[in-house]
Amino acid sequence: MSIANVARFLRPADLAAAIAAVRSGAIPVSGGTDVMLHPPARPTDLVDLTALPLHGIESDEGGLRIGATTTLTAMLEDPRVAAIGDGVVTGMLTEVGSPLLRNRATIGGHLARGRLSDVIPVLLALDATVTWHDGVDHTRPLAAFYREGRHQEPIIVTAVTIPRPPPRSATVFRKFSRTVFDLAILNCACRIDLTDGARIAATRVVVGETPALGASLHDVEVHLTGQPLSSEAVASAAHMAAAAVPARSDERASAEYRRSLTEVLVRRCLTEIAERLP
Amino acid sequence: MKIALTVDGTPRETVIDPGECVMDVLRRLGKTSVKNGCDRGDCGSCAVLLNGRAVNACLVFAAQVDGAEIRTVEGLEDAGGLHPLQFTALDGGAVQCGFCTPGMLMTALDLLTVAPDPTEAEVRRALAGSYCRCTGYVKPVAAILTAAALMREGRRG
Amino acid sequence: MAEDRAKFTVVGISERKVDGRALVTGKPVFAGDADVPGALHVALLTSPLAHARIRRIDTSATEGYPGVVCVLTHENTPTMRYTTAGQGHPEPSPYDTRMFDTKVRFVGDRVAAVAAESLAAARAAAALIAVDYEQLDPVLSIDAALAPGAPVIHDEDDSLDIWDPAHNIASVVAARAGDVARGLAESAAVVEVTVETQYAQHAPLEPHVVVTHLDPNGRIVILSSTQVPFHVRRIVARLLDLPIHRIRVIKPRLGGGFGVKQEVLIEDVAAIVTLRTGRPVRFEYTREQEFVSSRTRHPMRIRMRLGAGKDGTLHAVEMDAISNTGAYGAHALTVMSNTGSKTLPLYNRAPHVAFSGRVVYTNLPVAGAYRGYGGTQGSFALETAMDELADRLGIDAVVLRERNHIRTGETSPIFEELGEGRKGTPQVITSCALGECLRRGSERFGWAERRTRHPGDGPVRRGVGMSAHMQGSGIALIDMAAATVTMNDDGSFNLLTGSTDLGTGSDTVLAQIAAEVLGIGIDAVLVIAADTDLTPFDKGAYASSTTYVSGKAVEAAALAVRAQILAVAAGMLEARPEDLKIVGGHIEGPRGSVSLADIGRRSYYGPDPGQIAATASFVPEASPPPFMAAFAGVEVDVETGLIRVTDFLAAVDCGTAVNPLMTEGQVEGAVANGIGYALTEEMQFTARGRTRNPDLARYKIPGAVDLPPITVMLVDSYEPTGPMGAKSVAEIGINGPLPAIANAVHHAVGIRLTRPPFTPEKVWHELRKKSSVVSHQQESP
Repeated sequence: MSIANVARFLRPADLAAAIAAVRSGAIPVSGGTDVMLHPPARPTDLVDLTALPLHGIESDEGGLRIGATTTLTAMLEDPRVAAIGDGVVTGMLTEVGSPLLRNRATIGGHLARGRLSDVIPVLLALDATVTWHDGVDHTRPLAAFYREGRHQEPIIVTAVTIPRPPPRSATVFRKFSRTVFDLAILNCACRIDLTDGARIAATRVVVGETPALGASLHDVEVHLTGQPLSSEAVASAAHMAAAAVPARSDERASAEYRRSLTEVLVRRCLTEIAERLP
Repeated sequence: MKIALTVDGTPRETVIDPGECVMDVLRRLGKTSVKNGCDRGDCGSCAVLLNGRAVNACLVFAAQVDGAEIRTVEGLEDAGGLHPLQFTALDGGAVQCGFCTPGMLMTALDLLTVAPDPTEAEVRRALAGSYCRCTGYVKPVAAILTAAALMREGRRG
Repeated sequence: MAEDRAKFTVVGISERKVDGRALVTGKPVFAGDADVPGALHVALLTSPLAHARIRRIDTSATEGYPGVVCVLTHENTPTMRYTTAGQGHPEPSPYDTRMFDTKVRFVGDRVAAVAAESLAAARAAAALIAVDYEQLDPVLSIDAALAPGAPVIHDEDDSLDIWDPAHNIASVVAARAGDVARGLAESAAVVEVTVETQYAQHAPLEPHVVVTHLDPNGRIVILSSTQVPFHVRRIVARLLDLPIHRIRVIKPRLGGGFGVKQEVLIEDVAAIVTLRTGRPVRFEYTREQEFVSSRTRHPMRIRMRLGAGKDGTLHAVEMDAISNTGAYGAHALTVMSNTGSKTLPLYNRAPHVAFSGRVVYTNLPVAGAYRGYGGTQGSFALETAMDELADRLGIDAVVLRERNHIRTGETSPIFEELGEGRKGTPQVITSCALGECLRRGSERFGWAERRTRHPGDGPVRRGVGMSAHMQGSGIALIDMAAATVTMNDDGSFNLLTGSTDLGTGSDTVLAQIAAEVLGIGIDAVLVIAADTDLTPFDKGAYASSTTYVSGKAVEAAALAVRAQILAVAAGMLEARPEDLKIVGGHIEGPRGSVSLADIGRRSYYGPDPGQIAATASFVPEASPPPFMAAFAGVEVDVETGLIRVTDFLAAVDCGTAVNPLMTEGQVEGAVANGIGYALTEEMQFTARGRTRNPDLARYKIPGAVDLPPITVMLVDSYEPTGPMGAKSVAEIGINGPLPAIANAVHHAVGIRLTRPPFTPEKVWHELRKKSSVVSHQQESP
């Protein structure tokens, strides 16, 4: 869709020039798919990030650092990404948009634009951090990034880092949608880390309920921590999640239904985790 | 602004508007096989290979394809005849109205480049963003699987 | 004759599509691909309100706007009423539409059009038009339309053939045989089911597109994505007050239609701009306009009552339907007629049958022709009720259909009582293999075994369901098709047909029929189609008519040409024509042979030259139904309500499958569309009548990954009145999924789904409401 209101399309060669443009009101563009679909309302410069050295995946002991202009397909096809959480990121990516969109959409653009997402709940469950530049570099947990509204500031997301989960940990993601190529009516990402004594050391229960980005259900997480991962614990956590989720109604589903789905999906995710963790 | 790109092997230069998408530019350059079915990345009719990967041409800024290589279905045929994907689509009854065919074939070509021996489920997943309203996908999916076999054997259509 | 079929060499073969190579190589064969230098672009201004009168429309801001050439509103365009429905003449749909009206009747209704040097300029200028609306109360449902004192949508005094405009009733239909009340009273078992179907859109991948220009002689040439080029020519001629012969309509390759392009939606605007400016014009609907300002499937509420004896033999059948045609009555009457006429004859055992239908106006998008054409909605009601009856009587669902379905040599009073918006035509079924479809379909599907299998105890329950269907083949005694065959000097032939291949492959099918008659390969038949200057009249592509009606015309023209060829050859070979046969491009006689090329050359250059050619017309006396048995397997997640269709089988009797691969493709595509209709597809509206989901991101059609394996069985039959034994196949497949899936869900979890689409949330609500899973488990063996 050719869009109006693009004053200039800038292609700076370094991050300093790019952030200067952004601070003067330019919109960063990497894959461009989201900017096309949500174009500026007034004449605005666009600034292309794809010429900047923000591309690629690096692995170190801390985890994976994925450059902002890495496409979702590049992530999906990378064996190091597949190694995280028994393939939870890779599996989730196969359900995001379509291959045609994933070939173009980038992880940085996805996080920076911050819309309905299957990616964000999984990254939240994995305690991912996001790095951005606004003249200097910042790194914060993804949850804080959104909570503090950083994505709405004049910044350039430069990378996301997914830490390697501890040894006795499992993460499961479920998406519930009308068709495969569709936004989720509800999605759910759960992570459990077990102690050596088979108690829950840490957990993340993240539910993506339209139209929010994905909410970590802290009360449920607190409730689970310290318990053994029993079917009773799973059931009570799922029940709590349904009550806690800030569900809303839209044209795809009612809040009531989303609440019920929350219970089912959280239970199924946690049950699958219990089956996976010895 | 002006961009230079290679389309189906031919270098092209063209003046574009900064907000213009690749689909509109390609159609203006005469590549009308790049179909506008929805103009917002939902249908896949405009899919082309951009530097080897299939994308919705309607969702790519033309300003970003300066120096890029683009392939459309119009460049698939060569001196040896139809590309296996074209041949099997034609022979296998995979084409009804044919409006989605160019985009679907380019999307399939992306898949077969990455996964030369896909399962039926993989083919279906690869077509998730390539709508067809005529065929129910039964024959297109079968044709892509047959094309994959032909390509593995190094055969033409 | 059926026994001739064994000798066919072209018909019955899966020939490649004659246009296939151009399509797979991406050649510019669609209307939107036309390279028209200097064309103006049209942007439409549509109504933001569901119901309003235009007090004033101010286009002054567009004057002098860079690039704007022409602005159309109700103030400068013809005001006669017409219908956009592209049907035969006299048209059965009410004349309730104006090109641009002083009143808008739905969000998306035409207000103005701007033609400019670029699309961007046209859109920008259209946005500058100021319209002063007097808002009227909108009517947004069937019930609201019928409520006492409801706002009157068509309060104008110049519309024609609206049944009862003061009460928002566009059309009514009724038909009866016997005494249905008595019949129901006499029945051992009576079931009643009410279903309510949704707004759905065809969503062809190619939105409507038209390109117009003036030819060197000042005639208007309309290159259009239409299913009905001759009806476009006639309707546009009337609107523009031009003689029909001043207009040429060409249909190039079409990117799908499914009925939505049986409607004259954009040609009039482009043509009038070309007429006024002398400039070529390009007008394409956006995807959003394709949803909102186009046509949809009529939503219907249908109450079905069946009365039967203990053995399941139907005694009384009553169908009472109300449809919502939206703001205009395009196909209002005829779709409603077909709701009964394409369903009720299927079970002809009942002596007491009654059908009544009312079509109401609302301030919502306009309904029109959509594959299945009322039969889809009607057979959902009928087949749901049949399933309920089978349940009530403890009779297997397949057996119940076997006991009641129409057979070869039989008739139904409905054929005569219910036609296309008028009385119908008596008709005796001359081919019916529905019994075989039921038997062989059940066998292949594993019906008997799967039907008795336990649904399971976990969150996912399995079930199977089935349904039976009929459709028609063209419109009896109304629609005509003609074809011309001419011989070339190399022994090849030109086939000129006005019929409209909208992607179905009908050009190929017609070439196969001609080639079979002429004893040659399909490569020697050049199809020239759907150009009103060049090709003889054809009603167009609708009502499952092309293979049967146009095919019969092609067969007749080819037979006449064949006779001419044999007459020439008889002289050359010193034989009687009846002793000659055409085999592989040669005419063989007792004492020698001569090639078709020899005959062709001789016909041009002598001795004794003369063009070998013939034109033939065909008007069908009947509309032989194809039949189908449909089977669906489902899994229902009782915790989420999600229905997964695991497999779908359609066993179809379409007579001779002229091109089996393409025939299967018709059914596969129709079934896929039907599955979308059953599970996900629905246009949704705000409380003020605005469409909430006018794009393919929010209106979900099935993708490859969403569909189950679809099996199509072509069950053999031979229709003696059809070309080479063929009937139709294009529509019937779409009728199956809705009832078969609903019936399978009933089998799996015991709930009766009556309001498609069967979204997980709806199913979940039904499951909770009835707690029927529990009772079903108790009932299960």
